[in-house]
Amino acid sequence: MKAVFTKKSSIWKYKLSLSLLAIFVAFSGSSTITTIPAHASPVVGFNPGRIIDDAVFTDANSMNASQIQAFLNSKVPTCDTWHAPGYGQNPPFICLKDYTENGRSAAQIIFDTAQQYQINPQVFIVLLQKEQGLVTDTWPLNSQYRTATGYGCPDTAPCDSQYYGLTNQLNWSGKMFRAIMNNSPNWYTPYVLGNNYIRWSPNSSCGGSNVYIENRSTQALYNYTPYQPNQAALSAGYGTGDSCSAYGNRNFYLYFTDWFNPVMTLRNNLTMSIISQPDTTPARGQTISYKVSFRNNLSSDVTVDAIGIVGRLGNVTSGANRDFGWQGPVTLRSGVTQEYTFTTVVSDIGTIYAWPAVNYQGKYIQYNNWGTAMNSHQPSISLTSPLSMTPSSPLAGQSVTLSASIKNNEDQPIQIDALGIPIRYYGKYNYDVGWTSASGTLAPGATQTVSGTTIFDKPGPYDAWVSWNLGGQYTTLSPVLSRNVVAPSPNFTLTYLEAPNLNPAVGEDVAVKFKLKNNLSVPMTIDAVGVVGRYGDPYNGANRDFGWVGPETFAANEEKTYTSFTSTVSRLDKFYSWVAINYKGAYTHYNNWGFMMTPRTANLSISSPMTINSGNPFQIGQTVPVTVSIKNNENRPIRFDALGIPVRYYGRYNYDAAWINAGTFAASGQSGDTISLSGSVNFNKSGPYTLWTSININGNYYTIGSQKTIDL
Amino acid sequence: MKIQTPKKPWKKRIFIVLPLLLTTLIAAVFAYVYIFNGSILGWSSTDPSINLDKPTDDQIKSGVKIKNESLKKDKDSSTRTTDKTVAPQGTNGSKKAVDIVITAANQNDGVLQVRGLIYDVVGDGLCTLTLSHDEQLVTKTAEPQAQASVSSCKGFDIPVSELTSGTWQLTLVYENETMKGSVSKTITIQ
Repeated sequence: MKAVFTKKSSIWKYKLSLSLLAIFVAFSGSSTITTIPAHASPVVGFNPGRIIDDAVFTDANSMNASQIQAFLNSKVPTCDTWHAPGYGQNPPFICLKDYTENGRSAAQIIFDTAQQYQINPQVFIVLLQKEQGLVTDTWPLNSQYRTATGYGCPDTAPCDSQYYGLTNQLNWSGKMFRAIMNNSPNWYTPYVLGNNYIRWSPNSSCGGSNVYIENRSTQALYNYTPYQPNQAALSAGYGTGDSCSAYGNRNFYLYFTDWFNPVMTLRNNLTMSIISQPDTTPARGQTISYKVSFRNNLSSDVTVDAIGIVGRLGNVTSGANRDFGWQGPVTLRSGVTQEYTFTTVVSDIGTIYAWPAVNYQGKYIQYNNWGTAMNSHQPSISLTSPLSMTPSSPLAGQSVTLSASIKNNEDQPIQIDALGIPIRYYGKYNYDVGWTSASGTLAPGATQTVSGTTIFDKPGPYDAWVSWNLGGQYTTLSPVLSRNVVAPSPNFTLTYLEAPNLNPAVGEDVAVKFKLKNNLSVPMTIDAVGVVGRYGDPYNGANRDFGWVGPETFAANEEKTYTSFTSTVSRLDKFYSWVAINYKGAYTHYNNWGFMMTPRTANLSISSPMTINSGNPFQIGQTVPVTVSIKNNENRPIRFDALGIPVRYYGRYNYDAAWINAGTFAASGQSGDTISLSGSVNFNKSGPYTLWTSININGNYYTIGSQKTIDL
Repeated sequence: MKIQTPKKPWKKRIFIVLPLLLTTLIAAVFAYVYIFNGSILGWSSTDPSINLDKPTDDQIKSGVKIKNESLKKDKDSSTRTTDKTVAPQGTNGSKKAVDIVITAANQNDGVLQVRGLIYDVVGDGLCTLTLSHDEQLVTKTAEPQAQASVSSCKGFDIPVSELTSGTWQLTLVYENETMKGSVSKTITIQ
């Protein structure tokens, strides 16, 4: 709930405020009232269940007869006694201020009735206005006086003559009001304290709603006018609502609050006492209390909308709202002193003004001359353990733990809505850790540790500090801890599982098997891992890489095994091989250029000599079979790209007998270690023919065994 | 020869005009205070809670509207008397319908409080409240009582012990020699 400070729109209220100001200046500890604007529109503060308080309703001594007369005079400064005839009546017209009945003035009749029934005379004045408009009427008719308070006048039928006359009307009104206020067993009202169905208007089709009637005086008013104002009536102020609007109780409320200011009556009869005021030099985060009591000096209980402590930061009128809190509605028992305690947590640094206040019918009664000024300060909170980071120099991708401990050096508990370690990457990206979700207090002298773990997944600057949150405001409790996190460089350990044959045969597969271990405590992803192969020169030799795999991700300290990198020896040249990795385009070579292999010619032999026509004679122009068998004498398989029996006529003309494509000799002693070739040749010319066995490995031909020459 | 210069006439008149002006001013102040009955500049020295300003335009307009509506109602209907013989009746000699409503039917402290409102000011006749539930029937009667602009029934406070739990139908009837009205409502007795 917010206290309202508004300009008073009417001259009367302006003068009233001046007067109140004067009272303020004169008397420390006095109270003031701040009002809402006058009822131009809409109606504010109307409560259908409590239109007026019993204490106000029964304040029979609120005005004496002369005050009533003065009031009536003020509302009709000039009576239009000789107004033109109207409604069938000729002048003179007698205004209420001048009206007499049986020798008594209207003011005296009102006063006497009020005294007789112990009802506030202001209630009768407003009744005369809301039923007949008599208070402001400058040419009232006799008929208006006859039914001055509307008593005996149903909304749907003519008035009952037995109730005619100003005195009679006021008397019946007072009689009924008093009977209801006394809860007389002889007066049966159609309403009860509690839930009641009350229509919006005499038109039953408009319906109504349940109203919880809170007090007798409201019950009495509904007894008089059994309708409640609908929203259209309330929105219209003094004006016209809609076809379902009834105005009796709305007008009663409006005229009464505008003319008699029940809030002022309440103010004059409420005694506020300060029992204890808050610490005037609190620390931010400290809980402060304001204890007050209110004594209702009225003859009846009064229910106020709320009692509270207003708090304002920096300025009593325009400062930010720092209200301690409000309780309400609160019924203040007649003659009873009731205590109220309000607490709040100081959430700002600066001057905070606080004072008790009562809200009643939309207006605030404010006490203690704008209250107590408190000057808050930053609490003394020290670091018992400075903010630390483990590891102290983390790498990107590394898990980092931050920790610190704080101590409350104040002699009061300090509220902590949240305590944490904000971390910012490049000053803005959130990597916070350690924030506590539940609020609590840090007792005097107590310590609290805040810690958390996160991963600095990117290289770059990270800043961390300890922070305390209260009421949405953050306070830094430690120096900023800065780290420029760098990206990790690959750091692997290579272990060979099996060295390659350093003297391999051409056509033999050589393998490099190894393990690679990530020595970092952060994950590492490399683009590729493989085995480099170079013939002749490790720098510029022909590329015969064993192969590459990738990208490969290693968890922190993970070791991976690679056993599938193989290469077939294809040249009789020095063959260098080593393990390498590629990381962001750069190669890291391991094992100091690795292994140097010296390939040799595979040990292949002719196991079945070459035969031509199975060794039988043949004629020129005859096509004859040619066969030969080759055996692998190596203990490893030998791969070849082609195997055949070349035949040359005069050493150059091709009469090749047989070729088979790529294949493999099994290791010696294994099935498949011998391959037989079979072909045919048509020796169609006379002259010399040369035949031999040849193997092609990676484009290079090697002769197996010796050549054979025939001359036809 | 000594020439006498005539005295300036304004010097003589000032001793007359000035007291007159002061007297008029004082009289005006007193008249003002009298007119505003003890208040100066609209400010009452006796009780600041009482507004002694002239009524606002809204307040005057609202008062005129209240007056007009009241007089219009008087004009629309002839003056009523308490003489039962001339009381209005419905057409064909039937009784005039009167609007009634059950305003409250609350259970408090073992008592069912039923309140009825008759939208007319009546002093005679009878209110009859009938409560029915299954085969059970409870009937209560009460006289009406005139209020300011309506009437109530002098009842009804019914001990809940007379009623069994469940849904009850309430029917309130008001009837006198000239008018009759009824209304029903369903409640749950717990």
